[in-house]
Amino acid sequence: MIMLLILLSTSILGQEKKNDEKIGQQKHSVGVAAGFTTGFGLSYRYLPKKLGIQATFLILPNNYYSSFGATVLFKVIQRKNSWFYLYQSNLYSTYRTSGFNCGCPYYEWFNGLGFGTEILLGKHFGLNFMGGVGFYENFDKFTLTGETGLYFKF
Amino acid sequence: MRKLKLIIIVFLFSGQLTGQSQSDLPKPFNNFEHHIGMVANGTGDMGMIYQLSYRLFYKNTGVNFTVYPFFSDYLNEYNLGLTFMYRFFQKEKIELLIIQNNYYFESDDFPTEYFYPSGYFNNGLGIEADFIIKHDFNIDLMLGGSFYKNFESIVPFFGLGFHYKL
Repeated sequence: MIMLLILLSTSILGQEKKNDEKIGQQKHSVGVAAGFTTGFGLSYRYLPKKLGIQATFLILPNNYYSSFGATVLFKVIQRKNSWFYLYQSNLYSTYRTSGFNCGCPYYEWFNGLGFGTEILLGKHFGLNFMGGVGFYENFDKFTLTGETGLYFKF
Repeated sequence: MRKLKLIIIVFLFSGQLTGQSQSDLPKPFNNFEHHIGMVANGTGDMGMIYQLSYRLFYKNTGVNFTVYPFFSDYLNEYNLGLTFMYRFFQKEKIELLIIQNNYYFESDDFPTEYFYPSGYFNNGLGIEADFIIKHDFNIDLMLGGSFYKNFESIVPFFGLGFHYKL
């Protein structure tokens, strides 16, 4: 009887520990993101193990502005309340110009490279801060970049 | 009973020895801390400057390296920073540090008659408060005074940053 109780309690403790370890390591995330090289708008992340992707897009009416971002994420450190990763981002944005070029569609590429961290807020929310360097406006400009995002993880 | 006492004593003694030997082991990297993040600094009339930041601490003494690049067809400029830090107060949620910062700015945009060859130094002294939000993540506030443009004048400086402890 005692042996049985010990075995049962051990297995329950093990289960709890396993659940705790899974917090913050969910594969899927959806949320909103804003960044110079990762993109603005709705965002989805898929991170099965160490390597993952992030897709972010925003489409405004009348082709005024739209952007599509694809980012590769690589998890470096996983901790209980946070994780640290490296990213490589690619953003394609298009908009209608104003002034004497009025009405002409225009497009730009933005590419970034940097690091980021996700701070877990409770069991399902993650607040992201990312920083690095990036090429702006079709490789015309090279400078710092910063990105942020809030995700629901499941 | 005697045997049992002997076993307990031997067990306790061996446990103590193991603990002792573990704590005596050399831990060359345990006192080092690595932080990575971003900082925004404001000094004089330069406006806010954003920088990538890396911090290395040995116990309570640290150095902070920062960099800001901007290269384009119409303007090339960069900023390099080296800050010495000493942590004099540490609690669970807050740390206080004395900081001595040294920044070098260089830009195509500076008129060369004022900035020979084309850059200048800012050297400051101040205090920093690090608010520990989630174990490894902290938000930093900096405040102090700075010698501006190669000791030309003294101006206040402030800064805001975030760092992740690796």
